[in-house]
Amino acid sequence: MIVAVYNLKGGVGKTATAVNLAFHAARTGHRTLLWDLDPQGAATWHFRVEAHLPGGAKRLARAGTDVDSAIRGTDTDNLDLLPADFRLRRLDALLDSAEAGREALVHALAPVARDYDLVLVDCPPSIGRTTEAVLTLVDALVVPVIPAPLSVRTLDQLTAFATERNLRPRWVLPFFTLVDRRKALHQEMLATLPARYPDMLSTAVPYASDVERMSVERRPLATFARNSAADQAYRALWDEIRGRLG
Amino acid sequence: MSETEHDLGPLTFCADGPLDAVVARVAEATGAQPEPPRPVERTWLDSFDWRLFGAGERLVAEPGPEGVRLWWTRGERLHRAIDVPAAPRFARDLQGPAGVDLGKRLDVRALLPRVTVAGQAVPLQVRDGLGKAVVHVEVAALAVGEAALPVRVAIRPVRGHDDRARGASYALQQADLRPAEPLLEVALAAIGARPGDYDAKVELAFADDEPAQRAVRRVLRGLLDVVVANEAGTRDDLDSEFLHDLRVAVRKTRSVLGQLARVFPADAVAVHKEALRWLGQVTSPLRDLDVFLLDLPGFEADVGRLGAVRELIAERHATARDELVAVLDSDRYRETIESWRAFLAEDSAGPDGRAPIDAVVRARIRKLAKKARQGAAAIDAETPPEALHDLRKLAKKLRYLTELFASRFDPAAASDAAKRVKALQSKLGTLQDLAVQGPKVRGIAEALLARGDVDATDLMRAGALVDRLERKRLRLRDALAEGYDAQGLREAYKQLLGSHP
Repeated sequence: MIVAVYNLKGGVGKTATAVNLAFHAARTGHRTLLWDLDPQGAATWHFRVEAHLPGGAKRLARAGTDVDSAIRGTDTDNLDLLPADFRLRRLDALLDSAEAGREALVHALAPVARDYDLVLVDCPPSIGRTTEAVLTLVDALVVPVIPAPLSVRTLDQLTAFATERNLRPRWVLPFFTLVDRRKALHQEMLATLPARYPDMLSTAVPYASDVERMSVERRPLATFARNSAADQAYRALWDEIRGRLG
Repeated sequence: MSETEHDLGPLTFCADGPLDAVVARVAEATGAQPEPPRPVERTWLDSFDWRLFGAGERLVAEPGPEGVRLWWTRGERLHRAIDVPAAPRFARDLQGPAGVDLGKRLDVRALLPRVTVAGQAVPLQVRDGLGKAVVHVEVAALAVGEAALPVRVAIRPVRGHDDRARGASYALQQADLRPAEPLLEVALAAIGARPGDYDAKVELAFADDEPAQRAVRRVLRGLLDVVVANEAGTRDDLDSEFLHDLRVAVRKTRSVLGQLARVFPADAVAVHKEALRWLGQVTSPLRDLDVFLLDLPGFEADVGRLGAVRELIAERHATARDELVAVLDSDRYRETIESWRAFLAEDSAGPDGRAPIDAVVRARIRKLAKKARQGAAAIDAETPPEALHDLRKLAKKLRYLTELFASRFDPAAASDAAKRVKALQSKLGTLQDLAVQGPKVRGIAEALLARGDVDATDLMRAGALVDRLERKRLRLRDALAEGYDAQGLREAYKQLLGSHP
């Protein structure tokens, strides 16, 4: 199963989602690979791995190469990481002329895919060739959405982009993140949006300073704030996604 | 075999001295940073017939953050770590891919605790410049019950950092730590056990001139050991395979006794055949219900939940189990086993008893193979069900003799012959099972109706199931009518009988 955490808008908690979902997947016995495709390398940072992918973006765009030797085990059992690299910022351009085109990421991952039950892809906040390649690769998209109009708009843009290219994955699973229930707008969106997006997950991840602390601790939430409100939310989110994906 | 991987060097060591002294040596040799010591209690889980061990895997349960943490290793590598509320008993108790994966090994077998070690462990990590662990090391002072084991040091590699694991292994060897035997074997030895100590297969070697009565008695003693080994698990209903293995061993015993009857005195054969027939008979009802319960998920996938049917079967299963436990606790059962064991310790012989086993077995296999080939060649659309059932029984007898005396033949020829006759037996067996299952489901539905506690949905589903089973039976029967490769069977047995070990 290959799942991407994606939103073209930045700052919506994609990396926190990818890191914590990967942790809970691993905890529940899934052999998990977290693939950090974001050149910023935040997921890589959280696992204390060097943000270096030998060959950089070219390695992913080039036919006949795989990513096996670049994978690193993390401090979480069952959880490996395919690190980011700042050169991944050129991936869009390279995929444009890549022989394998949209299939490039599929080819790159194929030799190691059998080692894992779940591959979670932390995507860059952009829309373009990389997005197309990710949509070709994945079975499901998990889309963190801040309960605010601009964030919701990006969900519509993503849906339109995928539909236009006939690349809609089997599951598109939006969920609310950075929720502040003291805000009337958040309350309103939480109440009304699920009717518009029937596949929306019911778990909402609250805004929490513990999540921000992850980048200081450089590890998943459950390893330093187990059972905090945010940890419980990510735990529930994983259980819900697992249930949806079957 | 020690716990090593060729490319990494030994990964498990033992050392003399107290835990803290060994921790200091390991830390100095490898540069690993120790964490505080913690109490550990680890239990190896495996099926009664060691399916995980046989596949080179180990599953260890220890207290964990969610209740229990399972460490599943394949070779020396971690295959999965799983946090669960309680240790699973069956593969189906684990959710997701881990359960599917475990099911491939265990099938319907239960996980049983095989041995437990307890003590103190110190985790150590070799970390890289960013603070990430690149090698895990553990130093542990463990005991099995009161029996203390030498302090053990185990290296666990991290993906992408094999060079560091290799380095740690080299450093520990340089520090004069001794490569150790696998902990499971060491712990089992401390309680006088060993892994793989049960196998339902009886595979013996025979001397060329071994008298038949002696050789057959050795085979039958092996089968009796299988019966006895499965008594406790059957009584405690640990999983359905205990009764299955017990019954197969009884069936093989009866088959050998019938096919090689002239090896023993006729009066003794008659007495024991009757006693063993009884044993086969009294174990049947529970096995039939086990099979039905094992098939039920597949039935339900076809026609929907069969709630009332399931409840009635569970009820009957509980009754049948109580009855079987009473049998196993009875004087008659004990006397049957004791008398049979006493007979197997004798050296009385019938007309063929002093002849070499090789000649006796070959003659019998030749005769059975000919009959099986003729029966298989005669299968057509008109063959009556009784004839197919008889052919199935014949194929089973032939297969048992082929397998139990396989060491008298060329191994490849024996394997090929057994496979071919098993294929015939399986095909006919499925047909027979389907012929029995349909009426059985109908009978259950009628019983529910008579009790008046069944709703229309359950009855309709039961009806749909009967219909599906019958259609499946007819499809299989049609396929059989197209003929069976009797020539292939003939060739396989010609090869077998012309071969020698």
